[in-house]
Amino acid sequence: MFFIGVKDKTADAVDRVALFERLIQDSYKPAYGLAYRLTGNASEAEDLVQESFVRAYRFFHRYDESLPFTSWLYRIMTNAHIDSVRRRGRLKTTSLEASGTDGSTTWDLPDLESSPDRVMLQDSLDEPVQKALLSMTPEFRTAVLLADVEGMAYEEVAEIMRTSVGTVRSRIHRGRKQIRSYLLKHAPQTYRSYCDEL
Amino acid sequence: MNCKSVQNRLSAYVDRELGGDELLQIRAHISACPDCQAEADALRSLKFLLNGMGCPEPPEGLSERLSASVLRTRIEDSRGSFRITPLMFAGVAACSMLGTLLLINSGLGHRFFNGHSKASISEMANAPKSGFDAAFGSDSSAPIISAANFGPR
Repeated sequence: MFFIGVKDKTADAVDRVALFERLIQDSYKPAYGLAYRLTGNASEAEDLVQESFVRAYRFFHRYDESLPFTSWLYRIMTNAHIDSVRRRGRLKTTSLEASGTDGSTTWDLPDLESSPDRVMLQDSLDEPVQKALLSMTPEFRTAVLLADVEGMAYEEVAEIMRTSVGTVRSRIHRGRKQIRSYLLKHAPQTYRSYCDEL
Repeated sequence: MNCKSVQNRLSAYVDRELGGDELLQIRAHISACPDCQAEADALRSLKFLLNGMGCPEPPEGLSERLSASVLRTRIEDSRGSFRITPLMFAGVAACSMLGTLLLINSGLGHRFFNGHSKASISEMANAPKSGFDAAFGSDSSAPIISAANFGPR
C-alpha cells in the first residue's frame, strides 16, 4: 500500500508535466504577447511568462476549471507583474527611454507622405502606444490590455483582476484617456492622421 | 445627465457594457451634444487602435525553455516535500493490524484467553444471536466453538 501511494504520486507528477507541456504549447504565444505589452521588453516578458507557468504548475491544485486556463494564467501573470512593479517601487519609466537599445523594440517609422494608409499609421503608433502603456500604473495597464488588446468583457477582466466591474470600468476609462493624452503630446500628427483614416 | 457624468461612462458605452436606462440616457445625450459625440468617437478610435496592435512574436525556443522550467519544478518539489498521504497511512495501519493478529495467533493469544473463565465462555455461548447470524441463519454454536478453541486444552 505504501508503495502504491508513492507510485500514484509519481504517476500524478508525470501526468501533470504532460498536461502542462500541452498547456504551454496551446497558450505560450498569447501569454508572451500579453507579457510583452505589460513589461515592454523581450527579456522581462520571457521572465514573466516563465514565472507565471511555474506558479501555475505549482498551484495547479487550486485551479478552478470553471475559469479557462488562459484566464487563470493571466491572473497569475498580472498579479506577478503588479507585485514586481510594486517591489521595485517605481514605474518602468526608465525603460521607456531605453526601449529599442536591446534590439527587441525597434520600430521603423514609415514615410507618412508616401504611404498614408491606416495599417502603416497603426504600425508607427505601436511604439508610442507601448510607451504610453508603460507610463501608467500596472493596474490601469492590465485593465486596458485585457479589455482592448485581448478583447475581454469587463466581467472577465474583473474576474482576472479579482476586483469589481465598476473598478474595471473606471480603470479602463482613465487608462484610455491617459494613452490618448500621451499620443496627442508625443505623436500628435500620426495619431490625428490615424483617427482621420477611420 | 450632464456632460461630465456622460463622459465618465463613455468608455463603457463604446464597449457596449451599459444597459437599461443608463444606455438610453447616454445615447439620448450624445445625439444632442457634439462634444460628447466627439469624445465617444475619439475613445472608439483609440479602442480600435489598441485592438489592432500586433502580438509580439515569442523568441526562438521559448516553449522548450518553459517546459524545462516546469520539469525542474517537479524535481525540486519531489526532493523537497515528502508528505504522508492518507493512502500511505492506511497501508501502515493495515500492516500493524496484521502483525498484531499474527502475534495473538502465535502464542500471546493463548495467554490472553487463559485469563477468561469457563463461565464467561458459556455466557458467550448463551448470548443472543448477532445481527450477522440472524441475517444469514448460521448455527449460533459454531462461532462459539471456534472461540473456545483458543482456550487451553
